[in-house]
Amino acid sequence: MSIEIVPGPADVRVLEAGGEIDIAVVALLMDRLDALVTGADAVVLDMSPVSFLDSSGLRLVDRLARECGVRAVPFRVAAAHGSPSRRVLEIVGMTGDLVTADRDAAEAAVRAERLTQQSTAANTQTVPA
Amino acid sequence: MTPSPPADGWDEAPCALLVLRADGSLLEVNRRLLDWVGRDRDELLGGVRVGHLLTVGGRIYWETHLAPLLRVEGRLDEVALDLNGADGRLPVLLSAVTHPGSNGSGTVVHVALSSAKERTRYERELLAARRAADDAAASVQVLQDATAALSRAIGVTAVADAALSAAVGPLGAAAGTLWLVDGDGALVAHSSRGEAPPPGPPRRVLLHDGHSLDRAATRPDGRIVVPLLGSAALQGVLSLAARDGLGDEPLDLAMLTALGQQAGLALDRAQLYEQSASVAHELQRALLAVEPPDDQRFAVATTYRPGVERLEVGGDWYDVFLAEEGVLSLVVGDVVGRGLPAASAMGQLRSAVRAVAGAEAGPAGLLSRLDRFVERVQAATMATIAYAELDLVGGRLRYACAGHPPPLLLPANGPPRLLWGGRSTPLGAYVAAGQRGEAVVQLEPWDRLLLYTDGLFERRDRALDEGLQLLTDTAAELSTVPLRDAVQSLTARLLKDERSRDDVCVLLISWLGGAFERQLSADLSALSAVRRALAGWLLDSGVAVDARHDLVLAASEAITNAAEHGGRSLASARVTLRARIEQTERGTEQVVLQVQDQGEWRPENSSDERGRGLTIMGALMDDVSIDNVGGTTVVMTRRVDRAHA
Repeated sequence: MSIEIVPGPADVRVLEAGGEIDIAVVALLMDRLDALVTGADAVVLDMSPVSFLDSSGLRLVDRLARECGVRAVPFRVAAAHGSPSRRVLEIVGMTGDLVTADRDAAEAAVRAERLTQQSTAANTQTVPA
Repeated sequence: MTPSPPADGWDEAPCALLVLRADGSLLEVNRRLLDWVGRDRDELLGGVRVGHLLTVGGRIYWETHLAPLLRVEGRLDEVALDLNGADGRLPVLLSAVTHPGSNGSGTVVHVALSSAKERTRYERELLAARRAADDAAASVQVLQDATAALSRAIGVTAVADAALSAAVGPLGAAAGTLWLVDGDGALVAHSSRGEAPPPGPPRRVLLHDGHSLDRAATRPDGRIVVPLLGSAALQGVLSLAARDGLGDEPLDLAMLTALGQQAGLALDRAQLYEQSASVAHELQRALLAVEPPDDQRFAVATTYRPGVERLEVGGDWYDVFLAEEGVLSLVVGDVVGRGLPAASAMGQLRSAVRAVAGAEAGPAGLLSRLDRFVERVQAATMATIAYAELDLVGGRLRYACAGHPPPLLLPANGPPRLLWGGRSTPLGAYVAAGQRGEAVVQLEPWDRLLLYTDGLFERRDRALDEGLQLLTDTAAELSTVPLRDAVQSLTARLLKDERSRDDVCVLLISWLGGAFERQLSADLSALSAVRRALAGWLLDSGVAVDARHDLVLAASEAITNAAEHGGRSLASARVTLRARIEQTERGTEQVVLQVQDQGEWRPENSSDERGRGLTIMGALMDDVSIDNVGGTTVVMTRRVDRAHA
């Protein structure tokens, strides 16, 4: 099981997860998650290469989402249709806005969200008190 | 005018002439007699009786037998007697005739004695010749008997035995050792009689001065050496010790040479026989060297015993192999006849079964195809065969018997019973199209099945039913003994009465159930490995790939649940996963997953995650039930369509 930062665009940090993610593995990874998102402007978690994912593995997704949320960093999950991770995400109803079908769509989504954030911030700033 | 008899005819006659008075005393004697007995006339005519001229035995004979006979018959003809001659005993033939006498002198006896020395010698020679002829006839008989024994002998050891028995026996040796020529041309002592076998390595030097040995000969040390010459080369040597008691005759070298020649040829034959017998045995060993597939769902033990009294291979065989994934084929068969033709037919039939076996055909289909096969392989006609296919996952057994004894089912719970279904005629016997049937029986886990050939229970002097009952009872007694011991004990007990019987082949299989079971420690370090094992079991069981993924995921969730409830911190806590495939009432099949732990469901440990876990299990399985009594047991089922029935 692994989760690593992989080369990608300058404005989006892409994390790739692979192998089996179950209860035995998740505990080991939790400590690293902080470092994985720190300093990123936007984060994409590509779970397509994951060969096994269960409810314990979903904790990883939860945690990443929370870390990104705290830092106000846009976060999306890429999981290909029919892949093991997709199936589990669908069963528990975690798809919706969070999950896209592939990495490109995820990157596009986080960029869009980032722009929205920035423009909202800008708008907020320009309004006189 | 007739010539008058020669005047000196009386004295010059070539025989001794006597005239006796009635009382046996000598009245007149001729010169021949005087010469023979070496006495004077005066001596003898002074009242000596004729008896005195004879040996003691002759005198007694004369007085008790001949004189009375003479008085009665008036004559004696060619009586053999011994005269007490001047130079010792003189054999004579005595003839006598009584004469009334002339001149009133009373009865006289005229006696003529002719020498029988030559005749006696002739008789003795005749007797000796006859004895020699008898001896020769006896020797020929001995040689004939030895030759017959040699030709009856099968195998080198039997030939050696026959040769030694003839030499140290009728042919008069005191003791002997038989040496055989080995592959390197050296002589190796094979067997001895009447003496200890000589120690030491094989000898290079022929036992006779290095001269080539072509007939029996006496060594300087007194031993007799007899070459055993085969048609192409020396096969061996008989080394004999002569008897050395008084009156023992020396060994007849000519006879021994003849024996050696016969033994040499017999050894030629024995070697050829052993070669061909060993080829057949090698073939049979190769054919019977079956490596059963390695699978945790069954265990099998087999045994083969050759027939008593037979040196040739038979046509019995067994086989066990995977007809396809999860289907185990079991075969026991019996080809008619013996020797290399039967072994080769058996090999072909065995290969044919392996080639043809497959789930579409099934047992009945296989037998039909074998019928067509034996049309081309004459020696396999009328072979009998018991064939079964066992579904290793579900335990369903399809079987058929072509003229073969019925398989014996030994349930783990319940009495043994013979399976009489699916019977038809031997292979190649007339069978109408579509007549090959089969039957089905459902095995339970730990049930055993016995396949065997008729040599195990058939005896000429015992009813078949009795034999089968004995087989059934004996097998039942051994039902809890480990497989390998059970098959050996069963065979040993049933073959205790080793009177003449056929070969015996026995195959005992135990179905261990198609279930899957694994235990993990509560720290779940083995969770990934267990998932893989379950996936493998599902694959072997013919479950499709999507269903496999779902089942493995559901199992993983349930195990994770159990571990968290049961107390992951406890090192000794264990979680058990079981999986099996069941028939439902509706006739479909379902996978049943069961996860069990010793902990209690602690609701306060429920979290979103656990909630998710249950959601996942519920989504993937048809039914999930949780039982919290005495630990937590989760049972989940899901309908599956397997790749084969």
